[in-house]
Amino acid sequence: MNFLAAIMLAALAVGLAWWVHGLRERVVLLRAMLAGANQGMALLDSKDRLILWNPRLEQLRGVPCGVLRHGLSFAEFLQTAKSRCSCGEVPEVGEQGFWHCDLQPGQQLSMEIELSGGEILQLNASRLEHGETLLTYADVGPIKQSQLAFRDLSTRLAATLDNVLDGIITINDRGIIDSFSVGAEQLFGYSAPEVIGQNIKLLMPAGLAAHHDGYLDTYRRTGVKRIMRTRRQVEARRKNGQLLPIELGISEMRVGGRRQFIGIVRDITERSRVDRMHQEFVATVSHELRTPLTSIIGALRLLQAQRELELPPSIKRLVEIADHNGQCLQRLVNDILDAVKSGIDVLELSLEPQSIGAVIARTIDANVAYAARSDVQLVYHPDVLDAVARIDASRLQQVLTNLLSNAVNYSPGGQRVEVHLKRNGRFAVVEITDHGPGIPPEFRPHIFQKFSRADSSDARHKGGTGLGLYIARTLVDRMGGLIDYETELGRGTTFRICLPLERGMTTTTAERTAVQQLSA
Amino acid sequence: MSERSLDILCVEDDPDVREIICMALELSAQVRVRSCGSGAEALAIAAASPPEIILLDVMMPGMDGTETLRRLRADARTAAIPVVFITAKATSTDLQRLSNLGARGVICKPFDPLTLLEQVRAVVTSPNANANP
Repeated sequence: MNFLAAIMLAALAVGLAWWVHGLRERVVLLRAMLAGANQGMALLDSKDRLILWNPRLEQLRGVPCGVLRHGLSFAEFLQTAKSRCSCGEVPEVGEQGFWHCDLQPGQQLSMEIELSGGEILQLNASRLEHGETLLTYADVGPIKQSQLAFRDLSTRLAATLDNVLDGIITINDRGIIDSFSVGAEQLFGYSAPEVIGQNIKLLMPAGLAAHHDGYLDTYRRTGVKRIMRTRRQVEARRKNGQLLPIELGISEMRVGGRRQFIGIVRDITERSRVDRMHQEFVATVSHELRTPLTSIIGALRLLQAQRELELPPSIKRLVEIADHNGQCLQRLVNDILDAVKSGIDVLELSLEPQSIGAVIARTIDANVAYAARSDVQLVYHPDVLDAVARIDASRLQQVLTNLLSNAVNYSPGGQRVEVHLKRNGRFAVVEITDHGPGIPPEFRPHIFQKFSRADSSDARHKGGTGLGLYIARTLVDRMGGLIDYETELGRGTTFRICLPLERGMTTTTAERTAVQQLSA
Repeated sequence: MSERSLDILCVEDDPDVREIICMALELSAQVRVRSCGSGAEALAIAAASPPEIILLDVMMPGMDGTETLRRLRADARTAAIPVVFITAKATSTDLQRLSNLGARGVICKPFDPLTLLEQVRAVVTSPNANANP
């Protein structure tokens, strides 16, 4: 019996030792976990005495090492850092402690304590099942600062957006309005609460609204961006039903993984009105100038064509002079109208792959008679058989006509103006060379500027407005090309236009000959 | 087309320009030109005796060229007559808009009277061509 009792006692002792060992292991594990935690943690017993805490707690509380000890009451625990509290908001712990009053097992309490160093600690207390309390301390200062900074930024951003005259509207990928700026409210006559949550089609005229779902759907399916990051002019609809012209820019952004579109809306009513007046003015001036010119030039041309009329030489000469000046006037009118249109730099060009050689030939044909009147011969040297580039043929002809007439005007009688078509790498090169006096050095920096002339007296001697080279450069730029010149005083000037070739669209005379020989 | 007589109606409000156009076209013996100074007259003439081509000024008082064209197209008797605008309009946008209205082409003022008939024939024979000076 004693033996049996001894065995049982021994087994109990072993079991107890095993249990204590397991418990120690768990405590070690728990301490290790607490030591690694980023939050300050403490465990209080049911009488609010400190039984366990981690080093992070000491750091956060600024408590000198060794001050915290087992059995420290919570009131004393709070006092350990009271001197660091800036606002006196360390909870006063009375006889019952600050959570003793209400905190029941399973309940939690949370509060913030701001320390004198600026740190903000968030204290969470959870009452456990058997009356112990788990305290966690987290330094929420950085989060608070971020929140404040974010709030400040949001306020500033909202103030900025609300003071932008343009309307700023965001919609989701279903077309539902998420935000509507003050500028948009003023533009459309709706308040933000009236439209937020509504479909953007509310702000569109019927024709556009009917297709908008389709546009969004196509974009969602294909991802093809047709109007993103572009500005376009469309009509919008105000709350009162009135249509207004707007300029609309749309861009896309992702917010929290959701696709959103931002629309910047600008009222261009006034600009459209001015544009319309401008266009009407240009159309009227154009009509009023060109109609009499048509009669003058037409009558003179028809008179010259009456071969059966034997006009006396002096009359013939007078008709020639009138015709010549009619042509000059026509060029001036064209130049001035080009310059005062909405701006030649925004002129619409119809760029298509076309033969540069054909344009040169047409231009020379049209100017041979003009050159002949100044006793100047136009000579064409096609060094390549042809070259094809994306050009607006009529505008290139305008440029070449300008360069040719300049060359003729500045050529001494009896001289030649030579036109070359060459290839240089991937460029077609058109050169127009005269043997005139050359361009004065002081004028060269201004040669392509509006209303620039080498000498204001030139305007009287040579005709022109000083717009021709400005227009030429602008048009060549718009065709993706370059224009420059070489000049030598007393020897002449060469203007050079380089236009990017369409790939494989040129053949040199030598290449053509070689191919023909191979074929043979 | 160049081998037979061509019946052209010229619609132009400016009498001098109208006369120049008529004289220019009549340089060719194969052309018969009729003319009038307004869109309303043009509609009446074209309906009564349709010409083969109408040269139509754009900026005219009262009924302008674009409205005249619209009415010509709306009348079965005149709907198929090729119309060529003659205009002093300045911008390429204007010219494109005029082409899009259904005219066969556009000739700009001032034109060269000695080549006007060639320009008209070129415009009429190539469906998408615009003849610019």
